[in-house]
Amino acid sequence: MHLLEATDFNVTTTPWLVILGLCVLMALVRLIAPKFYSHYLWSGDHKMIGKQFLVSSLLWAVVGGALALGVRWQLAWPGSEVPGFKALFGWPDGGAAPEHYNIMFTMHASVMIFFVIIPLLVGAFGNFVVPLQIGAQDMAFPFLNALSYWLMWPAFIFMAFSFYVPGDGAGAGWTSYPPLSETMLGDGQTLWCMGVWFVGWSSICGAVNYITTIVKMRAKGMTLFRMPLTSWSILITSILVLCATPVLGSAVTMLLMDREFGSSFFVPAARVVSDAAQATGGGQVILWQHLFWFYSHPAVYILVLPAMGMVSDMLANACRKPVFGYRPMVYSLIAIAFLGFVVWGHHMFQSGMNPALGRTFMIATMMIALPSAVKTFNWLATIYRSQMQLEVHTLCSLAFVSMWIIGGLSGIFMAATPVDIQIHDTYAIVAHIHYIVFGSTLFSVFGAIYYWYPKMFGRTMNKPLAYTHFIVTFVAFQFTFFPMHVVGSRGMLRRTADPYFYGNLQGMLPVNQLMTVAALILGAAQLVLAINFFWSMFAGKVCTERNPWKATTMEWNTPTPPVGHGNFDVIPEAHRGPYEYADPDAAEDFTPQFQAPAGSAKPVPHAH
Amino acid sequence: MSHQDHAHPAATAHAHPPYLKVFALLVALTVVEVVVPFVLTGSRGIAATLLIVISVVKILFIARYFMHLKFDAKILGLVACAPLVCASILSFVLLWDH
Amino acid sequence: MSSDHHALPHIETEGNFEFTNGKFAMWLLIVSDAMAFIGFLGAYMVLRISAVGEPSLTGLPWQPAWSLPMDLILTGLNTFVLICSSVTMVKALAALQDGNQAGLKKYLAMTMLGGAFFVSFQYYEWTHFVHEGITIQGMKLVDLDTAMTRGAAAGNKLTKLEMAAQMYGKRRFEGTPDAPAALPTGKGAQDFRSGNFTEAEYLFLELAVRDRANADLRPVQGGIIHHTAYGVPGTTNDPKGRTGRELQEELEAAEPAQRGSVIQAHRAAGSRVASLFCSSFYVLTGFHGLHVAVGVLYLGILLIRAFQGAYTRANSSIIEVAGLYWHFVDLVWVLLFMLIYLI
Repeated sequence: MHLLEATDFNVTTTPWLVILGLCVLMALVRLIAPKFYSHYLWSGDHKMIGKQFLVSSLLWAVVGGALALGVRWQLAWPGSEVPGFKALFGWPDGGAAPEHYNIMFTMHASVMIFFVIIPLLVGAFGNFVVPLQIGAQDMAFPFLNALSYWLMWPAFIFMAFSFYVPGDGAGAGWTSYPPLSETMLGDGQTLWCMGVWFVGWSSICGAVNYITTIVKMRAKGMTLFRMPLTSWSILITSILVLCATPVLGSAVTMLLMDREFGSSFFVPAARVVSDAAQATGGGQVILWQHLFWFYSHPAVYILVLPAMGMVSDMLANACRKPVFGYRPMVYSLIAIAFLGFVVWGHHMFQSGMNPALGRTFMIATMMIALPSAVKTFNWLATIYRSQMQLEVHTLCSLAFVSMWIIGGLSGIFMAATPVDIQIHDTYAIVAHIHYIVFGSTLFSVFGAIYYWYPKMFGRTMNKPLAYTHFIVTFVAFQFTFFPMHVVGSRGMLRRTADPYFYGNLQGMLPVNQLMTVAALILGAAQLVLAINFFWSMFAGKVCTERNPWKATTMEWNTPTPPVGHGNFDVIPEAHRGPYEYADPDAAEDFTPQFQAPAGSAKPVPHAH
Repeated sequence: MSHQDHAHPAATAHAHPPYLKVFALLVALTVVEVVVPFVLTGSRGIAATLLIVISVVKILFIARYFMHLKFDAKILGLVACAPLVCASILSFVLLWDH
Repeated sequence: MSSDHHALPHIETEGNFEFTNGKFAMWLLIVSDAMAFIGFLGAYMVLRISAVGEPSLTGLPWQPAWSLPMDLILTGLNTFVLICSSVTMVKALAALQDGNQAGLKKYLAMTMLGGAFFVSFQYYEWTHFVHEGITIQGMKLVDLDTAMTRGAAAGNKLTKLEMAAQMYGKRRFEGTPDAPAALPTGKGAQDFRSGNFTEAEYLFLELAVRDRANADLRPVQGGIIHHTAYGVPGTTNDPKGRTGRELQEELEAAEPAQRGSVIQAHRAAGSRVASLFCSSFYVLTGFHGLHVAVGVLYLGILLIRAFQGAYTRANSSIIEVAGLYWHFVDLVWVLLFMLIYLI
């Protein structure tokens, strides 16, 4: 407490000063090197903004990954110093203390969700791919687009600073349930709130832009039902972001008010918050859970819908077949998004919520299995009897589909209240979420990087390195996360610094050590991706071919890479649906959307 | 274009929605709202219901006339309904659970 | 498969809606803003409904009788000003559409003035509340006499004992309210008789402290024990510089006879009873006021541009888009006025 008082001035002002410094720096760069500034920093070009999102998210993934390895290290060798953490975060115990364990898992999840997955899917690929796919010259609002990237920077700064304030960071879990998040001393939690707040603004700016672009700026002939599924999924995701994120914003604002200004929204009776005497506020802790999950459950779909869209595009391309059931794919996207709004309570079966509500949420949650199954079977039917080209993005898409099945099936178990009561807060949940968010989403992101890299940078990535990266990652992934199902169903609790304190968990140490070793290999494999990514940017094989994958969608109708601001050197026009592969009437096995039909010179071929 | 601006002032003036009538209605409803708590002191339930109904009417008039939803493309009305759907889901759960 | 090319000789262009990108984007922003308000209003609803109707072991009533009543007439007038500014906004658009530049400037200026008046009144209301001891942290303890005066002004007819029950918590005691069996005796009674504090005040203090001594650690009713100098350290203005917690500890450790002076120290220190009404009131009106303030700036920029002659019938949608924002702010106030002030 006295610590808090003494350092109050420093921690609350320093991040703001750093942000101010960043603004001054940007202004200076604008003066000194205006071309560099308008091309690489405040660029209105959606392609550059997509790359900015891509690179900064990949860099944050290093932080998130390091924290994950810190967590794994503690589970394998409890109480020992994590190598490098003393130097990295300035923790004298090197992450061995339980409170540092809490900070590690909290910040791992927060960084991975807010700074890696969402910006990668929506910010990076949404930005880069959507205007190209729908045949627009840019997003509807380039300024808003740049703003949505640069609003991430205050968030980056707040989150980064949260490690270096008294208290060493936010440790209430990424869900930040009160009362812990209210009583947590030190400013880490406050900075966490500020960071999330800015991420929310960034997401909303992006969502407004995507929806307007997709609704208003499609090229001639690009009807809604001729849009590739990536664009569809970004449209649906943006609607989710638009409706759900502000609710998190208001919840976080109330949490900040509670912490900093002494209101009592989430302060339960008889709790002491930041040097205050006991309050009779009688605020509602479960209220936070409702508001938080009202955002964060749709956020789960924000984390996976764009991945589904990208995988559909890549699978159709790899299998040289139209996506099986294109319209059902669209309708199931919409259904998942809508159902995503009415199932958040399945995170709260154990919260003391009204049991009748629990039953409602259980049924709604199980209903999500229907559109999800539609998608899964459509992917399988797309793959079925196809002449698959085994490129790396194909492998990644296959990994997506199979990991989605595993993660989705365990999700159905968790949707059932009785089962969830059993496995709530165990490693079974951790296994489920990682099968979806790593196994599905991140593999699709890997695939998307390999797939769209030539269009982004005009060079291709090194293939042997890419295959190595995929195979090592895939195998290490299974060894890291599959055993979590087992230890979880045997009762190993998540968010426990030293689970072996409990007698019944002591036998699980060897399995955990296996998982940790696999996780270390998994982490190391990402170095291959990083090297390949940055090395290929400058020294990869030059690719000037417009359509290296012989794909059908509109983005392959631009020069590689698209030159300058404004995308198309030909007037984009869509003549057909997005997946015209293997058309028996056509000369080649694919007919791109942008290829004019043979008789197009005559306006009405069958008029007479 | 300025000749067009002045060509048919009367015709364009007639084309506007009845803003002043809506304004008068809004003011009248506000007066009723302020009076309700003073008059209906005994029955809080009736007062609350009445106040909610009046507010909904006011909101509808603002949205349809001042925000032009009545005259605009249907998709904008659809967009405007999105928060209503979310709000009803959220309040349904919150009220059931409080 | 290939029938698609031949079946559609004409080109569908679903992308061509009549409205501008800006108008659509403003509607989307309004949706997201509405969702933010829905988050706050949902919280308000839950907290208010679960607030107890009368003092209990766990909470204050939503708005206790001794809290400052809000002035409906003044706020109603302020609402009227906001509605006026809404109609001047549509008038500005209509003027522009009729090619009436002078009208555009006049009505834009009136709209902006209306918004500025609204924010200023909100500021006045806030300062008035803070002056009366109602902040986001809660309500300042008042003495029983002030509570009686305020209650009477709000039109309630509580007896002194009932008011004390509201302030310090209702306790079950033997005897009748008029002749309670648990009246203090001994030294405390002397103190009581010496007139330092009233009968009811002493009674409830005594009972509240006894509850705690009985190892019942649930909070007793806010008022004496559960005052708070909340949140930011050093908000008490106790002459000795004690924090809220120190004062509380002092109170609990004090001999019964000394407690009266400790309570007075609390009052002097500006201790507050945490209140969900206060939290919600400031956050909701603050969030809305912020929107109005932003709107006034927005209108100010439009007004400057209008004086530069930037707007014509052709780009009147810029004014319309600003109008959408402004009417949305008005629309939200209709809800807030009803929920916070009237119900």
